[in-house]
Amino acid sequence: MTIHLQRQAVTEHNEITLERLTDVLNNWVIRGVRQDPDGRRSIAFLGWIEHSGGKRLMRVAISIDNQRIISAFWDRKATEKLNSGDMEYFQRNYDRLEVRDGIEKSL
Amino acid sequence: MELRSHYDPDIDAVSWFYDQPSSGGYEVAQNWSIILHVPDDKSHYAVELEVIGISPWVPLGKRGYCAETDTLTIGGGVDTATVVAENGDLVAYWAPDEYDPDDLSPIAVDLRNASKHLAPVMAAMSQTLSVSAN
Repeated sequence: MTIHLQRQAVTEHNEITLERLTDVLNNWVIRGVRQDPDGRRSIAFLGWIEHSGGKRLMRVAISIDNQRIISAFWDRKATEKLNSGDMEYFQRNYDRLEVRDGIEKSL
Repeated sequence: MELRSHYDPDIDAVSWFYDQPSSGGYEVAQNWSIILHVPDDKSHYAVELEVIGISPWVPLGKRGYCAETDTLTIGGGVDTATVVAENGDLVAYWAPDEYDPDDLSPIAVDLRNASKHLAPVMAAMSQTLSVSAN
């Protein structure tokens, strides 16, 4: 499978690198489908990545046809929610939610 | 400090950003395709706004645009905001979460001087269209 990387997704000034994107896609802890109000969907992968001496969740969004990495960012809300054990947040916001065993907290 | 823009025609995405580092982002109005970036844990002002799928907002007037103030509002419910954080031409509106009232989330972002900031985006879009047509 070839996934095309959009320029939008890699922003060096935000410390989003190809290596980190790949890490999230391989070692995700949460995955699910998101839909926006216009009906566009993406598959979101969330994974813990070392950042500034701690770990944060990076979210990588992939097109629904698995062909493109659309965006990536350090997801502050998801980090807060997973650290506090609020899994209902993910159940409310993600369709086809998958959670991998061994989720570790960043703190 | 100048607000710059970057348009990615392949996914119809635009980001407007200042030369200030982002330490992370939040969805605006729980919409995965609109991301507001903040500089650190305690700040609510935006250093970058990413919109994946900008076409519903352009040309100006299609959605969320006030011609009188030349402001494009992405998101909604600004009257319910309890925190309004301005950073130049980006204004972020935050309100308590429905399920966790102690927690704030961004509900909308104003892009001031929208016609100026959308001009390079629209130019890039029309360039892409003409290349596609050829």
